[in-house]
Amino acid sequence: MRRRKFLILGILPAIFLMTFLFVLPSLWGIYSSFTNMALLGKEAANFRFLGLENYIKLFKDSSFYTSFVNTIYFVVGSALIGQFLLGLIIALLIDYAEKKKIPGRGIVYGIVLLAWINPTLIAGFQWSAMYDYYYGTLNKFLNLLGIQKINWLGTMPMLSVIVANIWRGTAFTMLIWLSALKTVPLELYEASKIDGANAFNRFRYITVPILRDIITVNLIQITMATMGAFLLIWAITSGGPGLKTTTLSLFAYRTAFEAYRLGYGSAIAVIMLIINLVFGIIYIRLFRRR
Amino acid sequence: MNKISDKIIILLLILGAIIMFIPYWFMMIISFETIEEASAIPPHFIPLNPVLDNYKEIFIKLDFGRYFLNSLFVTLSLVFSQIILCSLAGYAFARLYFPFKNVLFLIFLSVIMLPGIVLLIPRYLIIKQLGWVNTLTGVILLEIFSEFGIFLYRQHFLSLPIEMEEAAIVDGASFWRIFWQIMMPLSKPITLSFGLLVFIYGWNLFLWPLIVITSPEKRTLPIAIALLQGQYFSNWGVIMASGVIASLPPIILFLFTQKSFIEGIAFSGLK
Repeated sequence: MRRRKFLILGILPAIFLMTFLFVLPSLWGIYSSFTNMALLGKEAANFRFLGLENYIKLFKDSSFYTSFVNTIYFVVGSALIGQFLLGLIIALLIDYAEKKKIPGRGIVYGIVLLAWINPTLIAGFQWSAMYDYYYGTLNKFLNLLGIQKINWLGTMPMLSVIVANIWRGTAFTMLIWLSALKTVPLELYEASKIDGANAFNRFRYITVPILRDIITVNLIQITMATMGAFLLIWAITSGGPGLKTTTLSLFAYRTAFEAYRLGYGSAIAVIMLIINLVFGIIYIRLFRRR
Repeated sequence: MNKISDKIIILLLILGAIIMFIPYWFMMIISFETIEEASAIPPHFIPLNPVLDNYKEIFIKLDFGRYFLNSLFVTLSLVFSQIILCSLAGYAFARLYFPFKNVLFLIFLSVIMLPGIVLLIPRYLIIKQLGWVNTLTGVILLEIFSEFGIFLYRQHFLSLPIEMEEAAIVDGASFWRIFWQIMMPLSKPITLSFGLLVFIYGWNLFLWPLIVITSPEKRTLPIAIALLQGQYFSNWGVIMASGVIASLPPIILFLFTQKSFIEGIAFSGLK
């Protein structure tokens, strides 16, 4: 009896909220990707079911193709090469420093984390202030060294936003790696040292296999987060110049909220979901237990 | 041999820390400088004549105090409501039996995969129906709950031994008492970590309030700052001062709760 009361109070609000805040909106969003729904105008009230028309249109849309390629660059560059590898390297360095009790490691840790707890918009403005052609810190440094100014956001916009996103996101992977490295039993390392394995082999044949699941989950998480990254790019370049830094999430936002084409925008978001799933499957296969 | 490699590692760590800190450092410096000084070449590594003009501008002329309080109100409401709702639901999923439990839980989890942008429009239509457009209530009520929170609490409660609860049931304690007087006190560390993560999330919230809020006095801090950029195009001092103000609360929280903070983030990846 008491149990039922708790059950009702604990789970009913959760199911109710979940349904109205997540499940129904998601289903509605997927459904709208098959219609010509609009945010304003006559299609806002009277929309038609189009079947796969939005998706067929997408594959003929050169802006979609450009944003798709940009997204792949952005995800591979900032999530895989940047955050994942760099996060791993910093974590290994700090882990080593911790084992050797090297002083000052806590400060390094804290500074890396600062970039992550910072509001995204502020991170975007910090990097805008770094890259600005006339007043930017980077160009002032170049000037100090007697080198010609560089138009960072004009000549290498994608690299610029990738660097900013690496700066911002690395802390997460670093933390995951650091806590994960602590779960590997030290005896295994000791034993392999006696067997004469070097540091790389110890990492390759002991650490990676033990941490397989954590690596997979982490890769899926940062890929999804990077795929959905909107605010940082928006604050630094707004997707420009031209479409050069427009990723799918900016393209979807533009289509739905600036061009008011809800249905088409939702179709882009569904494609993003599919890309997420493809990446997920690749990671799971790559790190599957053999 | 080891001594040299130690030194290289220390050097790498210091170098990395400096590079990571540069954007922060210059944000702080520029916020204390006038336009002329902020654009000076060579750059100043410390403000030569620190002035508070930019801060005066945003607080006196631009009403940033109000935006700050709006953001704080939204964020703290989210922290409290998410802790209560997610812990209750997490406990129910961990310990109680009811039909379709696992199916429901899987549905909850799979929703995470969908890009957040899909949710914006239907959610907007919901609050439009309820008449909450342009209210902070509207901003808060559609964010009072998160799948991540349920998952976190479920895993946490599953990791606690069940014997204690069984003993309490034998003694005749109600589920409410067990939950509030035994389970929640045992969950203090995880609640603190989760609360901090929700704080960061709420303080960072951008697109949703941007769509919901239309009148200027109800803006939250990130929206007010984003609008500054158009108004004060290359007056970096004012923009950077607003950035310093916006990044202070999370940094202060972080400094006081470092350990729980780190555990919270780590837990979200380790499960």
